[in-house]
Amino acid sequence: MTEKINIKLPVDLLELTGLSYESLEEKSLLIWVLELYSEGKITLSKAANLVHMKVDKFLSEFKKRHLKHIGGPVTIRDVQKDFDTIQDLTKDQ
Amino acid sequence: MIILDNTVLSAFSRLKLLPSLKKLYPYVAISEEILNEYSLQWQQTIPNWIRILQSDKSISLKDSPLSLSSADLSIIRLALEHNITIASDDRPLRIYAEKRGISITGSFGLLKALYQKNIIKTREEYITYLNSLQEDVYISDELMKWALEE
Repeated sequence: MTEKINIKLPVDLLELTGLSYESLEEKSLLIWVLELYSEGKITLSKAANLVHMKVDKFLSEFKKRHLKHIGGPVTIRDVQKDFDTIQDLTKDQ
Repeated sequence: MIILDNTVLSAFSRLKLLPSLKKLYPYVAISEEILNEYSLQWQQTIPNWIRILQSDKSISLKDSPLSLSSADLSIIRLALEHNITIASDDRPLRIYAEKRGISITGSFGLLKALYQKNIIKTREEYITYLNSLQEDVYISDELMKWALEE
């Protein structure tokens, strides 16, 4: 079981969103995790695990918000290395 | 052989490029833990030529960061056990894999290799795939320029 912390939100959010306390808690967590994934701070798998979702469901939540995922290689040198790795693995084919 | 994490598996599945990947690599694998992270409906879309491997949990990864899940660690273990390259677009996974001496690649490099090996036939088709890949992973102007170099 993951250890939990309490955070405080303005009570107006309950009325403004029409969500129950539990749903607001879930939605707040989802928003945080989507941001962490978007910034490349956690993996896709970790993100889905944190919000107890299947990966395909988490990705549909991510994509419907048109967020960008900072991932993959950072520099030209990194991407060239990725490419060279593939070339080495496939050179005999 | 190459092992896919769920960023590359999801992206290539969405782009309908998994059959093309088979032309590049005859042996493509995922871990059982990675497979189980998808809904049953999604799992049924995975081609049966993709090997589902079980990782050796006795391989210790005590230095792994909190940003990785147990499924991520399962492919790290498989890569260490079988000396396999991992394809991932997740930076925390790529950084940890490199730290463990595992070779890494990603969707972007794979896409360029498919084009250069004429598996993706036309430049127009290649550009369409590159643009579509941005739904899964951000491609900077600098990297896009590299991708478009012949």
